[in-house]
Amino acid sequence: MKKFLKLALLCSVLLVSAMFVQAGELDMLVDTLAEKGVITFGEAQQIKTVTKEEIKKQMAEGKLNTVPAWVQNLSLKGDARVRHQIDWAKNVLRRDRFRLRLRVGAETRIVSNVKGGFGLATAVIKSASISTSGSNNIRVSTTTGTGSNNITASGSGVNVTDGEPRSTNYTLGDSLSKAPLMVDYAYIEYSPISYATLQLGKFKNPLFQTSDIFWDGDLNTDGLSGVINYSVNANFGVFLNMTAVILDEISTDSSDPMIYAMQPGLSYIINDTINLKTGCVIYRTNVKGKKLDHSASTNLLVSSVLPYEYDSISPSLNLNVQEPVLSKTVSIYGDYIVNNSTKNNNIGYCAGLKYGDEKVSSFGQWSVKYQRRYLEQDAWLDSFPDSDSYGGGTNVEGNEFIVELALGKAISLNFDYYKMDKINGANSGTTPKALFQSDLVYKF
Amino acid sequence: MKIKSLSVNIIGLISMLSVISFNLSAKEIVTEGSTTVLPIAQIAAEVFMDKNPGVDISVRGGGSGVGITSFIDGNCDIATASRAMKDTEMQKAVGNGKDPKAFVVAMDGIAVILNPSNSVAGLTKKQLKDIYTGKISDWSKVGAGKGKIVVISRDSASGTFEAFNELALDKQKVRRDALMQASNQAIANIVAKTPQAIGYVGLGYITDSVKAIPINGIIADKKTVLSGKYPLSRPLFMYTNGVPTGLVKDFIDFIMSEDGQKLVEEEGFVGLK
Repeated sequence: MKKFLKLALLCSVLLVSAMFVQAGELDMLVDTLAEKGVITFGEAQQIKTVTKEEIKKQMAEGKLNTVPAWVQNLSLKGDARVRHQIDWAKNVLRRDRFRLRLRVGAETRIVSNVKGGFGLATAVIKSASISTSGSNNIRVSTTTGTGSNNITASGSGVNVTDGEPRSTNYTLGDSLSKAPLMVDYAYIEYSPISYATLQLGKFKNPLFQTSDIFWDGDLNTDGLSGVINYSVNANFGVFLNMTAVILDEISTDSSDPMIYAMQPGLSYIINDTINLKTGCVIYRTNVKGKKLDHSASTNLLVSSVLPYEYDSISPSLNLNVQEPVLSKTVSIYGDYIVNNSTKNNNIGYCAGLKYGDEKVSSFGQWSVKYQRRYLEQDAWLDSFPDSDSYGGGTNVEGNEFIVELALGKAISLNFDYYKMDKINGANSGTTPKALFQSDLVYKF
Repeated sequence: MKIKSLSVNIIGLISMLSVISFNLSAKEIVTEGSTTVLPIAQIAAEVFMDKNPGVDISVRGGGSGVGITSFIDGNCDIATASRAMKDTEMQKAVGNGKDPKAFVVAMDGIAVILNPSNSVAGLTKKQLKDIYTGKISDWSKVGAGKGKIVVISRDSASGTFEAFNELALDKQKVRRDALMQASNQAIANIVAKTPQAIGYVGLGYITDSVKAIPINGIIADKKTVLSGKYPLSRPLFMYTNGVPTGLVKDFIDFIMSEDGQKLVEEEGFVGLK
């Protein structure tokens, strides 16, 4: 008891002293006491460490009293990308463009288990006229003018303006016009327990995908999602991603177009060098008899509407093998889909092989990637595939090559080449098409 | 709209998980965090439960960051950590109404050993890192006679490997030709029989058949580890919410007692007593 009192007193004195002396001086003082046998070295270690932790806590408390918690928890992130893009197509003039993308985002913890976030991004503005009878499902739109970015529309009714969902590029030009910023995402996230989250709003697609063949990387989904990610042990985890995607709101239709998705999956570290992650999405849609905005106009339409659902099964797999050749990582990955709502033209896949550094995040790190892309006409909805792949439509196949090179911790140089053709109707008219992008990306 | 029924389902599922979590925490002490501290928490919990029938202590791993996050979110009673809380973690904890109280329950110290016939008298931390990451492969580069260095390491699943990787290698990968061993004793045995070998073990495994060498001029012993002067040493923590009371206090007191610190040493760590 006496010894405890002695230690407690010493801690108190040192804690007060520590407010006025440097940490190194405090350590020297305690070490000297230990050297002289006043306290043991174990007690000295306990005092030094615990005192530092107490000071850290007091500083945190002091900061808390002066700055609101949501400000303390605020984190900012973003990136800027300058792209040179060349488009080729059969019987069409080569097109060269410089394009700019800026994304800025913020996230904060509002209360202990609730987060909020939002992001802004450069956008292609799309204006349209909607009928005053209520539906903005079918839009009358025409392209006018010579500008690279703006798609204007005309028609009767109310004019609305929104951003192209699959692109955040602003093409340089238009007589030096300013680039528009639009809301890229905004969400509220609730975590009732450490391994489960619920999101509401417009947010990053929660489904595990190894490529962008079905979901363009710039897309953020609208609606609701629930994610359970549970680590069974250090090497094995299971997850369940669920989402309800709102595709449109039609005031004259009680059954709005939606996508419901559920994806069970697992991640497994097999040994020191091999790990895998896999999952399978089960899609249920409510799109039959409707027409979606931002369609690439490649899905089959009957009387101008989709003739069936896109109830699909879509497995994905990513397998990493670390350092099999020259200390680099080899990844084999792929996404597959079959649309069970039709028997015709209902298969799609992307199979890829990657070699290089697992992360391209510091100077000199690099990776090369090859992807085989194949997407039949009605394998998936043509409003969502990668917009760089033949304009984001279906009924396309081809090859993609990607090279990434880090120039520094937050800056990289990327090259992406697509050579695509139609599956039905290949090598005719203005097809095949090719596209080459050179990107300089800076993250912050 | 069908979204309503889906929302109800998801909210119902999450609520059910919350109830399960709450019920678990109401019946037991839950410790969660560092895989390095895991064996200490496990053995201490076993002995404590033997001495106190009816008490249930759940010991979880996951890593220091996982344990601290769980503590901040109120999902565990004791967070175990092989590092101190970061400033940002402390701010989040205080912001969430927590009052983190730190206890150093043990020190982690790793001795570097050579065969007694090896003439190398000591290494710098950089030389040690270069040997284990493959930049140095011959003893002649560190002041001994010519000869290929035989690198012995613990397998990557062990807490000793994790500690060595952080303290000595700055989390860089061990060279691919290193011989990975499943125990401290296996490393000590190989180094004792192999003149050109280098290995690392807990302090309890230093015997006359191997030579523990100074790192940056400091030899590994209980005093240098406890004082934190030895470069390959670090404190191991348990965090409670405020000054512990009840069962949590009893458990912490037990670990800090003579008996508890003996268990710490039996697990290959340096006790504070």
